[in-house]
Amino acid sequence: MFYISKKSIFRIIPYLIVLFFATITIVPIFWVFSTSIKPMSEIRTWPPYWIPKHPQFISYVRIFTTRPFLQYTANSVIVASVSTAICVLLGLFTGYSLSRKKFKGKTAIALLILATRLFPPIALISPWYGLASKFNLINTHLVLIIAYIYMNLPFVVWIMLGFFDRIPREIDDAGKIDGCNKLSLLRYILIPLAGPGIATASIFTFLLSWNEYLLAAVLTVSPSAKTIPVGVMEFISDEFIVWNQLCSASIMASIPAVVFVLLFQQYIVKGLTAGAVKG
Amino acid sequence: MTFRSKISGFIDTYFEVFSISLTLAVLFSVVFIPAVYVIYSSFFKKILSYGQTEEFFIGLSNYFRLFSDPYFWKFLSQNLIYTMGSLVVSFFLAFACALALNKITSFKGFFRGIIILPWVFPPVVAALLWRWLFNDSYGLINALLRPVTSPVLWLGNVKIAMFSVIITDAWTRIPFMMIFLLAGLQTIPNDLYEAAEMDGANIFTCFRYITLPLLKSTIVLLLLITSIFIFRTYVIIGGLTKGGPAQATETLTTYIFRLTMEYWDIGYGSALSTFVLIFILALGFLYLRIFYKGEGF
Repeated sequence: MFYISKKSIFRIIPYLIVLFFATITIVPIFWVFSTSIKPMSEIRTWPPYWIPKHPQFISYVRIFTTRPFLQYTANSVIVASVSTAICVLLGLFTGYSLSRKKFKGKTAIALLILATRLFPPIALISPWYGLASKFNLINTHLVLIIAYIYMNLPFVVWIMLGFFDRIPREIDDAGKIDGCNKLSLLRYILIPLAGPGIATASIFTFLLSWNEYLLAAVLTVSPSAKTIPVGVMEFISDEFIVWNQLCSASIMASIPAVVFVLLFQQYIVKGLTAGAVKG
Repeated sequence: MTFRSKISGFIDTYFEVFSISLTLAVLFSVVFIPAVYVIYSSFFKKILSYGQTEEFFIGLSNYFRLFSDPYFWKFLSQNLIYTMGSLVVSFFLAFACALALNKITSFKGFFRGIIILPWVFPPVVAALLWRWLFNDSYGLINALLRPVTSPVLWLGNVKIAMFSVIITDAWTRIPFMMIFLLAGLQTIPNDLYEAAEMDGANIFTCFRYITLPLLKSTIVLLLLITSIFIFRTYVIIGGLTKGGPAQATETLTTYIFRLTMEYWDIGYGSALSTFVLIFILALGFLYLRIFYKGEGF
């Protein structure tokens, strides 16, 4: 009997909807990958085909040999990791302090820190450029590290504050009785307990710094400091866009994102909901 | 008292003050000082050319110029269309997706992992990816629409370009909104729905009388914060159209970029920046108020 009950239809519909969203996510990404391994002659065909007839990985080699992508990648790695390390350490201490210390105006300070995240970076690019050139910081790693610390610090503070608030104070007291000072308390007791929060904060800070375009475009001028997103955008200013190389560069730029989602989906989802502070 | 224990006592006493002050100092110097500087610069005529700065005080002239600048009004309304368009499209799609994802039982993590990808992608890549999909001669979208229509100039037609920009932007916003709504949905206890079903409520009445009212504050916060994020975005339009064709997708953000980074008209650019700053902070203030009440501290 081909009898489909009303209930089973209701059970299938959500799967269809979810499948639809998975499709509109995957198809564009697949298309970029497919383009990245096509020779130029296959890109300029109409109608285009999904799977390249003569797949080749030469575009991936070309972006490293004919363009300074090795340097861009190195810059991105340096800027993103250093800013993540500093940001997470400072955010951890501040989150802990805001959670444990009792003082007047604490809420105001916490909200003030959150509010800095709402400032539109686009409105601040001219003073940042002006200040950076005054201190001779244009086109350095340092200026991007500072910019990304600002971008992510409020978020990290809030994530850590949330995590520390959930750790009972009795644990601090027990540690103090055993002779811990604040640093050893943090190091041996609280940081291990706040591990998931630290993981979330680190992944987020790294990804957002790695992906950031606007500030990097304004504050860098030469390959010695440009990051990958700026490098990817450079393809557009070419007279004629080499789409397969652009797509190879895009795939390279997206690797951290995909790896992090595959490995740490839980933490990313947690961060998305805990923060609500991403732009 | 040994030297060592003196140090550790010192750290113990000043640890919190030190770390909070350091964070505030960093944020103060990177955000508040530049913000004040932008407002200050907006009262000057200041143009950088060939390494020289021409600068003199002109009072409110930049603001008079701003409010009588027809481009300002055009780009402001385009900025609002872009913001509202992307907000509406991504919100409804994200809501549908969250409701569906909340219902399914198998492969939930797998699907969720795929669907959050556009959010973790570099926005530059998202913009260029769609620029390639929208390509009029070799793009995938025109290829898929081949049976229905002749090739459409998605990014080259003045009437369609904004639509394409909105679709691209919405694509990058859906994951964030979806996860946010999903988290909200998961806080609603299941027995509410069971009780309602006992009373004969169907799916739609459950949605109308249980889901929506309980998610109200989540939705308000989400719409506010997302509209702030969309309004101030540069990179999507920067990567797709750079404001073209014929300024059809130009917004205040691309206008600021053009004025300050291409024409080096810092004074006038600062007046525009000040406007955007105040506009966003007003929305932000509203957000923080609701957020503050919701957190209940």
